[in-house]
Amino acid sequence: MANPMKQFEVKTIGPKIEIGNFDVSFTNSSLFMLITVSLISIFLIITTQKKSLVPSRLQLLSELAYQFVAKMIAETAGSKARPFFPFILTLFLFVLFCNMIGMLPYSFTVTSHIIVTFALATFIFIGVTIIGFVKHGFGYLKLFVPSGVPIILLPIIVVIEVISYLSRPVSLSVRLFANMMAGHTMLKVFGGFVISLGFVGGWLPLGFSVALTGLEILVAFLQAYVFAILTCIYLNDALNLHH
Amino acid sequence: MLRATIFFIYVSSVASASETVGMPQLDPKSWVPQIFWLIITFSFLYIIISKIIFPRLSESIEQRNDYISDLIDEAKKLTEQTENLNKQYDNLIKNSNNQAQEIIINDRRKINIEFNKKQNLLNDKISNITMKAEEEIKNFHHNSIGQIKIIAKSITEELLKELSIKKMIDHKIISKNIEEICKKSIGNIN
Amino acid sequence: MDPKEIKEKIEKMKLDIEIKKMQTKNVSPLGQAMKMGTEFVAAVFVASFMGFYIDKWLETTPIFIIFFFIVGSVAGIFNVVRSSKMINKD
Repeated sequence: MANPMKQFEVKTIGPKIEIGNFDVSFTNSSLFMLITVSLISIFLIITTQKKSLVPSRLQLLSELAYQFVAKMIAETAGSKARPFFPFILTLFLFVLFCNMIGMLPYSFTVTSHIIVTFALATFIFIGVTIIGFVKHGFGYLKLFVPSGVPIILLPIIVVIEVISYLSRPVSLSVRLFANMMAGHTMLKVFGGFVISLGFVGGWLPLGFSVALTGLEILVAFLQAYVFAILTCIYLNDALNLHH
Repeated sequence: MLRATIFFIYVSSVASASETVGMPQLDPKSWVPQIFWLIITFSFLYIIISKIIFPRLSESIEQRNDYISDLIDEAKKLTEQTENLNKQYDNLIKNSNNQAQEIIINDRRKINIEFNKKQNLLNDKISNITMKAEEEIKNFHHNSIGQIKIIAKSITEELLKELSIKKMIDHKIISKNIEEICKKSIGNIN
Repeated sequence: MDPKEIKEKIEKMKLDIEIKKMQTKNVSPLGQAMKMGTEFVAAVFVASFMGFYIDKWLETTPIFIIFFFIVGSVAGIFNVVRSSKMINKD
């Protein structure tokens, strides 16, 4: 049986590139990031070329994405988050396309690497924290002091709140990474069962693989949505400070 | 139950796989290039979306929203207008109904008055005519006796003349007899 | 079309949207459970990590790692409660 983890291996493509002491070679991961980004860019640029009052089907698709994200932001973070709309849209589309492209056979799932999701989550975490401090100054620290807590319990509650706050990038990144990795590993495992059980016993795992593929497409969308909406929620905490 | 089985299969397969190769995700050698390329590609996408796509989309969507809200406003205005017109129409119908009612009542009253007047006039005329007729009848009645008397007298005189008893003609006796006869007959008539 | 018909249509659409909302709420209990688990594990992980390094710094192994493990579990429970509240609120 083929190793189900082999699909996550990062392989260098082309020559080794180094900047300073760091190895920044072009890998299959970079290739799929590039594919994702160029696909999104081409898709969006083509579909928004003609601005007709009654949209064509393609234009409708990109507008659908726009309005989906707009609604998400409006419902969670309110009107103050309007300047961050392009970022949330980029984030949502990037994660969604990475997940979806990863569903194609022989492709590489960028978001199945903890370091990628963690980098994104950390960037969001740092950004949100900076926004919070810029907006509220040191008043942002009130986020860690919930109202209506007795003074004696306050230190421990503050510690808990700080840990909870610090665990945000971890849970955000681990959730996406674990979902993507789990799904792909399972697909691979069942695919391997189909081959090893052969024509006689392979039908059951094959059916399972098919069902799992459907579920994985749902999960791919759901995880992109969750990633974006949690970003919105964190942004909301930073913009509208109330606890 | 199914979920638990799937989870178990998953965990065991991942564990066995990790034992043989380990998770490639945890290899620090692959981290730096991934972060590097992630930053490049993501910023590229962000720039494209924020500089090109976002203005385009927001413009076209805002435009459409404006257009739609314009249409909604217009529709609201039109509904208001139609409602007003409806009200006016209702009022008109009500008023004209009332007016018609009034006109009918007035006309009826007028007709009644006219009718009564005409009737009274007619009644008067009829009574006048009857009174005249009655008077005439009375007069006739009155005169007729005298005339009858005269006629009777002349007839008797003629008769007596024919009978040629000219000498014996006594006007007084004749009148007296006629008077008696008349009294008898007229008394019978009356 | 007369306004009554339009009104009826609007009502119908509103109902449809409500139904859809109800349906999407129960769409993925697995995903939600997964989310909760991550929420809890992340807090414990972060807290233990902090405890481990504080111990290393102050050379007090294993006092802080135990303490932070407990605090992290509590924080994890807090996280789970908070996100479940958020899900119920939607």
